[in-house]
Amino acid sequence: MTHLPPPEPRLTPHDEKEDEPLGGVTRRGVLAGAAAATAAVSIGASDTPATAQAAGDMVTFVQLSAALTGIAARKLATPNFDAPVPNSDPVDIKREYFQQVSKRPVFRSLLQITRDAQKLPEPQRADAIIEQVKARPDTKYLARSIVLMWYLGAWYEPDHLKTLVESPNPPPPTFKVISSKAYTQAWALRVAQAHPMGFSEMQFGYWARPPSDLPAFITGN
Amino acid sequence: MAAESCIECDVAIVGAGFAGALIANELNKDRGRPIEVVILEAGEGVPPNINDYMERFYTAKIKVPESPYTPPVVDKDDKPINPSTVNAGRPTSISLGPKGDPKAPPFGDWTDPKQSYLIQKGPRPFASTYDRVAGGTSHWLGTCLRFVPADFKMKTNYPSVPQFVDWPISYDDLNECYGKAEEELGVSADLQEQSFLGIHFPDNYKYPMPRIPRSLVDVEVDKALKSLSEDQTRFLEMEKPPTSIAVRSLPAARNSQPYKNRRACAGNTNCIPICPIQAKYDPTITLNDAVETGHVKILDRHVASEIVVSENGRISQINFIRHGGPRATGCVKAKIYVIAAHAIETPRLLLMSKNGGRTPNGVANTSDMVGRNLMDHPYYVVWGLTRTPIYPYRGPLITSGIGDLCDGPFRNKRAAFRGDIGNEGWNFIVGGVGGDPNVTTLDFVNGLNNSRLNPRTDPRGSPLGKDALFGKALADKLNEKLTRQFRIGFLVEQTPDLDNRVTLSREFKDGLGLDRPEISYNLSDYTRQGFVAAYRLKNLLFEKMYVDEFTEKVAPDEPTRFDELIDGKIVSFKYYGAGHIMGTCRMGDDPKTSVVDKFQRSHDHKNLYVVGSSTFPTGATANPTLTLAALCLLTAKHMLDTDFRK
Amino acid sequence: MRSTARYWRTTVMRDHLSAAAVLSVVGVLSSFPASPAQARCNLMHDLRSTNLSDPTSADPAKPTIDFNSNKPVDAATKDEILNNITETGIPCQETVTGDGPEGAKKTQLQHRQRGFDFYSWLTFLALNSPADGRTRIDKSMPNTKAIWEDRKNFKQLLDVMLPDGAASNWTDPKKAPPGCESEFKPDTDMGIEIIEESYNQPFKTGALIDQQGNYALFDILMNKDMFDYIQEHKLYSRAGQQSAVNSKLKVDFPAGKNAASGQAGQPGGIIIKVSWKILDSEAENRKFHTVDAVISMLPDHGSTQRRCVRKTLGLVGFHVMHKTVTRLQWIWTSFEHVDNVPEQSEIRKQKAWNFYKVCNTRACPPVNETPPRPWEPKPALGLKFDGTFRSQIVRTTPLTEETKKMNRKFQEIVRGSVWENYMLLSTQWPSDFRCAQKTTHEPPAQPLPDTDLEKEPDINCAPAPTFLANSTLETYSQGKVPLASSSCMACHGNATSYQLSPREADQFEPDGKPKAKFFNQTDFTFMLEKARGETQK
Repeated sequence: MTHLPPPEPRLTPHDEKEDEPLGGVTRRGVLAGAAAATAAVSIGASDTPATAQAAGDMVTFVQLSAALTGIAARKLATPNFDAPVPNSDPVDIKREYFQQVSKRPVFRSLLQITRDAQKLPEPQRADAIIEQVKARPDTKYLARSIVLMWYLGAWYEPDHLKTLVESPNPPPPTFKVISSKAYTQAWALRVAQAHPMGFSEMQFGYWARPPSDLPAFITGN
Repeated sequence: MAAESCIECDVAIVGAGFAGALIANELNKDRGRPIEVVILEAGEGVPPNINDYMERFYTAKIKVPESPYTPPVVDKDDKPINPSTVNAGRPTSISLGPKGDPKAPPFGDWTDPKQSYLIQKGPRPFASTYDRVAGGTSHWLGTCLRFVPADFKMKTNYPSVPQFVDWPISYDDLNECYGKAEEELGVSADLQEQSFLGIHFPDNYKYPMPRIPRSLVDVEVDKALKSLSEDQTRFLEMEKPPTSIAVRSLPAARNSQPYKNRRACAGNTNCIPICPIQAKYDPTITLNDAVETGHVKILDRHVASEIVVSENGRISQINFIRHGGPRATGCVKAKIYVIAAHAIETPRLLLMSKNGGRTPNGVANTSDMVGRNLMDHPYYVVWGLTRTPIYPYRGPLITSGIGDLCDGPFRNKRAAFRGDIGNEGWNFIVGGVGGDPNVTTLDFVNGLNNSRLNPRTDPRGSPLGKDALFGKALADKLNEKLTRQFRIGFLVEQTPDLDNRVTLSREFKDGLGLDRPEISYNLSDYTRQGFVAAYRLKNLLFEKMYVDEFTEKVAPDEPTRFDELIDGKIVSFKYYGAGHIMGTCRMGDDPKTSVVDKFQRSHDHKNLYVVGSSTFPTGATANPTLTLAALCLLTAKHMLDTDFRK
Repeated sequence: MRSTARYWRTTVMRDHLSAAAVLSVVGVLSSFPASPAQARCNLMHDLRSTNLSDPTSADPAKPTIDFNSNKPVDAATKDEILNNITETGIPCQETVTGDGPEGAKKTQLQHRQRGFDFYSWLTFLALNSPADGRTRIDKSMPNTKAIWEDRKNFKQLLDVMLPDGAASNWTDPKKAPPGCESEFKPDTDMGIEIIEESYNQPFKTGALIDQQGNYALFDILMNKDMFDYIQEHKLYSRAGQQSAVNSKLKVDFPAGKNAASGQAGQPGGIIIKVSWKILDSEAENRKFHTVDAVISMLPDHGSTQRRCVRKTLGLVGFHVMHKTVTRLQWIWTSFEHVDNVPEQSEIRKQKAWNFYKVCNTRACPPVNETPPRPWEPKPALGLKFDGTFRSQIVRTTPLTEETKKMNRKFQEIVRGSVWENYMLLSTQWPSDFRCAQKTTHEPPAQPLPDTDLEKEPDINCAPAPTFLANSTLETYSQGKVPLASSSCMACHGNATSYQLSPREADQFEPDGKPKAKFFNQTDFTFMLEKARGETQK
């Protein structure tokens, strides 16, 4: 058996309630049993990260994304499960986004910044990540591309973002919609307490009354 | 074209849009007397599902109204496609950019035939588009307003406006067919609420479904216009200055209940360009019903290329070109011919049909009115931020409007207008590329200011923005801005002007070698004065709603710009197209000044009908679809009573 | 046998908690379910119980069936499962857990999917078990009447949504389909009245024509829990839905739950949708579960007369939706006959498919297209399509390997009966647990059976998997395009009724505060929109 890295820490302070209130093994029970294994390995499908390293990276990627976007990890990736490895949530948009950035060298720096921040107490992590990310242009612009991916389901090239800001005569902004799934998972309008145009998961008449408040959308409390 | 090779039928229809579908279906409502109908549709046929449309829409970079449909709007590099290479092309909103602006991509130069399907001669751009597929302009919003009675008698009622003419029919002539059209399309509305400015209904009439619930945005506008003073509204020159202005739900072909096996609206906020669950009516529904009778056949990707007139003045056949596979030509022979190709393609086809020189001005055109009197509802849009959240981007795109101001003594002097209250924030008007929330999000992530919501305090006018945020600060900021976005639009009546017209380009052709439509277009002073009144109403509304206005100053090179002097100041306006293309084959009693009669039968050729919004002699302010649908049902009944009388 | 005995002991120990539960489980083989208080609940699930006093507990290391093994299922386990199904029927509530024998090699999502799929197989086999309540399903004949085909257990939609919106009782005898009065034998025949939904898939997406030129037929049935709620609230007619009382009703069907602490279990709402293939020859009968049906055709044009035909129908598709207290957005599962359609990888396989013809030439018919119109069956043709068209259907989303493994094992268990010719497609379930769920106020928070029906922003609660389509029931909506392609929950989440807002019309109080939201959601079922009678508008 190959040597696997230690398990990733859990992302968010999960509630202590069991997932399955009327019996069944609790999540904590599961994790206790699975402590020796790691949040690693996926099955079957063709585009999954093939190694435990890559799966661990995806967990870190979601932590990074949560810090950069201001949206809880449990909303970006899994609803109620633990570490968001591939195939751990039914929509799995994190995987498309991960594939968009994982081969870039600068991405490694972002992951390292995120891992370093895990040593801090939880309330300080997001700000620490943001501060580190902003410190250098290459991490800053890739981070912005990542935020735009989550918010808009579209890819804005980091160099292009840089040109838009730094060039005296910038071209019009250009981007590419990543996929129909990405567009319908975009966060910009959920952050506005609405939904992506063309994709509502609500009921007839919902618009006649005020929306749930913002935490219901982006932290799920 | 050898006569023996023609397809034969009772009725040949050109165009499988609203008008064509409704007539084909209506002719076969009585299963006991079938009428064989062939519909020539230039574009693609009805697909088995909307997977492709939705996929195309979701992945479109610029979500213009045409974006889900075929032919594609841009190529794989997101550039506009050269219309001379497209077999059944149509205009797109991407082709309405300023002249010669290399920074404008993906919006192309409106005067450049290499990217604009319409050859626009100006002086101003014609800003509306349409689709050319089975289902026609399915990207419509869904609004189903009736005209008010006064709209049908503009010459009689407002004689000081020389361009106006009367319709050869009245509201009462159309009342019953309005009801039938509402049933066919599935209109949801409240009867009491829709009884204003003379709109009336038969006794015991009921709308098919209750009205769609109002949005929070509607409620705010309603509150703001609830108590006004006469001094504030005197400028409207209504009969009496109103002290409150009603905000009424818009009747719409949008299900508020299960209706004819379709779901009720779920508020996907995407009516334009496509409802993902078909809660909004589109003509493929009627086309499917029509084909289901077994007596209607749709020939998709068959472009009508000539209407052939025989020696006796009757139409003898329509020739077509088949594309999308091996190119072929053919023809269809029928007892009755119906041109239902919308208000630009219809005159184009009539004008193109020269019959070897025997009809040099085209078919059905002894009046010389074919192609003339092109009208739209030029659309004046204004926007801003409300003081407290108004929660846009929820519910249908538009649920309510201001209709009570669309008729009054002022119509002798200036155009009427209707208000459309947007539920979609700044989605389409924010400027920049990609619409909102893309533009505002990019602003606050990358420190730009294309939305003007992120200005630097430095007044040096930098395009750069003040904030570039991450994390919770970003989420909170976007929430704070997006939840307060508000926009309202005004559809302004356009006078029928002879020189606003569709002609044929002598130079530019489409992919089939057919002459492309050439457009001359302008706004009359009467119409522009309607903008001025709308501007004043906007000021009043924004003041009462505490809206911080963000309507963009119009760029000097903006092709739709015009300036007016208002209270001593120059105010610049910009207009959009409402997608309401009307007037180019007007109806009337006098064959010398109209193309068709009140049943939409050509004066010149007794077995030819021209249907759709091209027959509207005046445009009023209401969305044309319900009225054109009612007229089509009236025409179908007339055909059954006369041409196909048993 | 050892494992069976252990299961029995477990069950018996549980039943010490409640005498009623004892009666319901041990030996009482009444019809299914006689009444909620006596509801049996199948407590088996995909992992063995750890705690004998809590049969819903689970030992991840001990799967009930090892789906990864190539060895046959041992006879003891097979008997245990099948006897349990015969004696306790369907599960009233799912038991799933985020762990399993493969441990961390699979995610919690995948483990739960396995749990749901196991629950779906139990449900399928229990519903299709012989209606006598005694015969084991693997001993059934092809035409043995199934539990769901017995009108004591399930009623067809058209027998509840009556013409003119009439009320009815559960025990009302079934009327013969119109025009079939002399032909219909109520004890042995299935009676079907053809309406548009019988041959045209939802939202009029298309008819399906088998390779023999027959229309596939569709039907919908509900259990007593559904029926009782509909009668109680007068939802069986449009006028009833539009009453003033119902303007305040939030439709919330009963939810299934296992027996617990002295309370009896109850099945909750179950809705079935089936697709049938008309069987023209005896030879075909052997591979299908069959039923003798008497079918009332559409009236001839211009007449009210309806012809009647007798057909043998073979089951080809089977949807179940089951509402439970822990899955208030319902659990959705679908089964198909193994011969229906190929996956893309199987299209060259030499096989006689029900809705596909193998084609190895260059001029093959286009795939997944609707038939040419008109789709409406011509009454004189006895449900044969008028024309040479045959549906050429391919399954665009293949079954996962996990599902195929589970199918092989369950098919093995019922080998010797026609049920080995059926397979699970998948189970769609809401993966966001606390979504739309009301809980008790005092800790420890326990789920209430009431749904938070006004949940925003997502009432579907993250369906897993995102898309699911049955090749015979959602033939033309297969795919992965959001909202456009078939997803049980995304589509059913849009279902509304004819309920009207309260007469006071506006949504706001005079002082501007929003009133209670007007509500016409139907709790995920389209059945209510099929109520007949006049609408007031």
